[in-house]
Amino acid sequence: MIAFVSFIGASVGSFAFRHLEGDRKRSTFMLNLFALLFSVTVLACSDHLLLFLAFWIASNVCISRLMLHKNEWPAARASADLALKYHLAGSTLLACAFALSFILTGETSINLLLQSPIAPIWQSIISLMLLLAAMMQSGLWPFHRWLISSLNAPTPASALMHAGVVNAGGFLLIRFSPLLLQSTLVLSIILISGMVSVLLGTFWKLMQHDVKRMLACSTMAQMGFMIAECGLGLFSLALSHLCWHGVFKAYLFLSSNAAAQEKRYDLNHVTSIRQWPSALLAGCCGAYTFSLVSFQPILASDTTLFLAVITTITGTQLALTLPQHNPIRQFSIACLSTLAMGIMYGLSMRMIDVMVADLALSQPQPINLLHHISLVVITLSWLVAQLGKNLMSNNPPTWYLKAYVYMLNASQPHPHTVTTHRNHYQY
Amino acid sequence: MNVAIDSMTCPKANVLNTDHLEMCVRTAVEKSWASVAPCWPLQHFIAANPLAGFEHLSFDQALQQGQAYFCQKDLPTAMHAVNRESIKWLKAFFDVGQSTLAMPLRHQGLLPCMMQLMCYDKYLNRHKDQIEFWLQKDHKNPESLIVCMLLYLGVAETEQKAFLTLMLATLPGWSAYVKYQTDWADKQISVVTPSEYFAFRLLITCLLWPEAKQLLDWHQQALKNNEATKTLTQLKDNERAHQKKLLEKLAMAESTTKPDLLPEVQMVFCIDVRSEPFRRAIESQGNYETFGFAGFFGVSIAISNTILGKSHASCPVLLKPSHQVTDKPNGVRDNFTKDQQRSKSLKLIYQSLNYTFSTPFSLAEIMGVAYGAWMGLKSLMPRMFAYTKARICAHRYQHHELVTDCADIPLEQQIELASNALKLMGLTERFSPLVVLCAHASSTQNNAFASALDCGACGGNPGAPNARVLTTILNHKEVRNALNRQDICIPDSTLFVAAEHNTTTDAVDIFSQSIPETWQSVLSSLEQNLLKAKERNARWRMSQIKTNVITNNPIQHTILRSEDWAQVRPEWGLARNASMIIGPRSLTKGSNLEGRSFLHSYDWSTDFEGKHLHTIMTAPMIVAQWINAQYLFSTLDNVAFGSGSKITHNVVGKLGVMQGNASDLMHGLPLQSVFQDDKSPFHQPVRLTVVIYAPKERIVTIIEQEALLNQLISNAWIHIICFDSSTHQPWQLNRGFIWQKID
Repeated sequence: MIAFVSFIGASVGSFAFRHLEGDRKRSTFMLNLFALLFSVTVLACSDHLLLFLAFWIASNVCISRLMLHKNEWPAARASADLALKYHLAGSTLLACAFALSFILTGETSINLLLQSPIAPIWQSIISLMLLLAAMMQSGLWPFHRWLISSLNAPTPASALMHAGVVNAGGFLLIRFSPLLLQSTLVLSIILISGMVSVLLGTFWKLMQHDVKRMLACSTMAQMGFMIAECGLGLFSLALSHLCWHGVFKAYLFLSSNAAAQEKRYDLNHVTSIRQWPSALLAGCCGAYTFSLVSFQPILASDTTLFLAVITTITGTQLALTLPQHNPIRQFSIACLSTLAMGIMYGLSMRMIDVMVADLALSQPQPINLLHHISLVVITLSWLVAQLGKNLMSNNPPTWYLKAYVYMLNASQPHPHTVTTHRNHYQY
Repeated sequence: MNVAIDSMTCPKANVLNTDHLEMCVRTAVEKSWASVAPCWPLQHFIAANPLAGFEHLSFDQALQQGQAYFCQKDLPTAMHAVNRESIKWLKAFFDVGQSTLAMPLRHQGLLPCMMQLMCYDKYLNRHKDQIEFWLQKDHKNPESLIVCMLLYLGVAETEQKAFLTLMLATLPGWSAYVKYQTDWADKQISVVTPSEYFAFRLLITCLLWPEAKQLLDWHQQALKNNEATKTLTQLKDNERAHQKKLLEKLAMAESTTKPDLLPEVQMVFCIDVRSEPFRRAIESQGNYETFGFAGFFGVSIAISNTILGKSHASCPVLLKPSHQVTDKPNGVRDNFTKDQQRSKSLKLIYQSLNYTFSTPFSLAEIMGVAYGAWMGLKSLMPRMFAYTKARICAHRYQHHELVTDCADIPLEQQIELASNALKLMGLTERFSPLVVLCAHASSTQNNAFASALDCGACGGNPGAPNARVLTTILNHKEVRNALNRQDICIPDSTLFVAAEHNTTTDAVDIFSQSIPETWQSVLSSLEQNLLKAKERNARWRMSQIKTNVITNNPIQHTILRSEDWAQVRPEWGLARNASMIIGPRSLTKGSNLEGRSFLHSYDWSTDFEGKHLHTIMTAPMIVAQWINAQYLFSTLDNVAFGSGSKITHNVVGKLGVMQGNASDLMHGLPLQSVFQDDKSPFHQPVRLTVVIYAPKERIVTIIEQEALLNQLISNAWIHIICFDSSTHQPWQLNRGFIWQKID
């Protein structure tokens, strides 16, 4: 964890140092950045409740200081304030949860606390408070407003936020996983709250018109996925997602200025029915490779089934995208690429899995109705996106227009964080 | 609200009256749009004067007007909501490729589309009856809608123009983009008319701020409060100092008689200010003669790339491409094609996994490792990354060349292009064995404004294809025969070669693949000397950049700046441009003009009717003035006319940048392009000084013929100095077109 934090910190830090050349507050920015990295590192290692809470708050204060870099710009101030408000609300909930568990167990060490017996009703209450705190931290619906309003921050600060600070929510849940695993109801609530953000975040991401808000909505969806993984009891997978998504998103933010030159290809090519069976087969091949490499069972009757489904979908999508000339050649290329994909995916997951093997974080849950519904939602949303893309463009029905406007408005930033008068912007 | 609508007499009732009102509105629309200057999208960013709409006023008046319209500290409170909703819808409507789920109904045009969507917008339809009232209107006729809305807002007929101008000036960036769409963009794609834009903007205003008439009072107040005198004094001081220094340098120039010795190589560069120091550097390495000419080399072409399936116009925006050429690989060990195809399919896969449901989650995990390694390499070891990349590319694409195929241009037109170009650059005799046409391009990473550093004469694109086309034409046997009949004798021993100057790294790439043996020795010595010139120029350029990069090797330093993705100042571009010199190189040769001058070659003694000077003054000089004005205003007020700091830029719709979450479209140059740091400007704000080496009468004749030039000079937007060809004395043309001797 420390290695991960320092790697991201060093990369973003050295980027920021050169990116902010000539900026009159560069040194303040760098200081805040170091303070943030320090508090995140301590947070990741701390076991004492108070220490954890203190550095949780500290890192949130640091990120809002970084967002406040251009502090003469009213919109930037509003963004930083908004983020801080949500984070402090989350911190208060966290403090309450910690206080409650201290009163109930008398322990100040998180590890010992997790081993102490607590009455089930209190367990659930504490778990839900932790969940709420995590949702506020990670910008999950309905607490997403601050996240999509946070883009008045300098690019490196956004990179750090999306690679680090929002992940703290997932980290909190992973840290307290033994507690959460005690109740199926709690896990179900976690799963639902994650899935809502997965759907909303993805939809919003696809309809955004500027690169940074698109990335922010995408983060929201990815955070939803991470929390949903926690709700499935797959905590080590959530950790792996946390790390890799962090790096991925940091990179995308740092390179966001190149979006002007990025050429978007036409993704609306119509796929014929004939392609689907072979693509699906190639997808399964990818999923099988993945399960071999990552030591995950392929067809389990527990929640690891989610992974198999997601991998199959990804593999199928990949195979569908490949150029179509010769069906046999194409099929072999498709299988090879999904194979490679499976290996890469499996390896990156295995890497984190091995590192945290001693902690025995993951406890796959037996499949229940909710899981079935979620699986159907994941698959259906993908299928609809894949097959229904062309239907809406020419003669959209009224309900679609209504939904479009509704969603567009829902994904707007807080009004105070918009620079409505050009000269309000200050550098 | 209801009462207001009911009591309002709708102009539809009176048919006679309607036509008259619509006519008035049409005039008001036209007049108010004239005050807006266009802003080009990022793909081909063209410098433009943000106050071009005020060029009919004298410079100081325009400055005052500009300040009153665009530089106000605040807006009336209710206007903020109007702007917020306008921005929200405009960026959705004009998006050219960021969103995957595009805004529905866009193909119907701005107004019809908005009228159908707005009724579902909860921020706009708070007054249900009101929005229904407007929606009943005929949206096929935006003018009648504007008439109704102006009546509703209580704007009198005499105030219409002023009010509509304020509707534009309160959201200047987007207005400028709409102006580009209506006046400059390819008409087939254009989906908005000036009236439609007004109808859209007024509709939102009517719904959110029925008392918007107050804007007029607000503007009156702004007009009273402004003072621009201080800026102007500073500006004039800068100009005087620069002119004095420049004229001293020109006075010291050598005599204009041509040296007897035939130059070993002649090189033609773009008029761009970045060519000047490089020309000096290469001239000092040997017997080389250089010329300055507009970087599109007189050939206006549209280039299509067969691999990427893209096509772009490569000529000044004032012209329309007259010929189609294709750019294709020459087929010799072509890694390039394969690499491009491979990278295209990889990108396609990435995009299809990223921009849909469910798959982005596994994509993030699959790509995490690779992106992490890539990010670490680029951020932590930028040097190693830059050198390795440069080396790999050099090795891999060593034998690669794109060949520009211009077979489609008819021979007569080829002849015309060739003879015009040669005459215009003053190269009609004494041809060296090797004549290099040197275009220019930049190479920067992660830079939304990359095209602003490319060749402006090529419409914000690299100029190499144009140079290739002209060299092919000039090497053509039949073209040379025809030129011979026009008294332009190009000897068989002369070969034309195309090249490209990379302004970021100062490397010059000569496209020398098919050069016969005979020229090899000249070429290799030229290549040697270009390397020396590169180092010399790089050293000078890097000394201008305040930096804490520690390296003694200027070439490595430029590569680092060019390849570093965190870099905000890869090169200074055209910053510090101040003057344009139209005349022979002998006038400026040997003097250090510090990269502040556009140099256009011109020989008055061969231009009998002044035709060439006319072309130069109405095309390259105008472009130079646009560039100059862009840098000038971006420096004077980087928020109102520039685009602010790069560190909070947010690329919107692949067409422009906003600041942060959402803002007006930030047109103009970023802070880092004109400022050394947050406080101190690098560009020195001055108006363009044009020095022309030609008879005085000829200059005045041309100015009097052309209304545009007339306006620019009588309103003091540019200064004209004539370096009299007979007496070698400088004369300044004042605003009343009278020559005054400068001492």
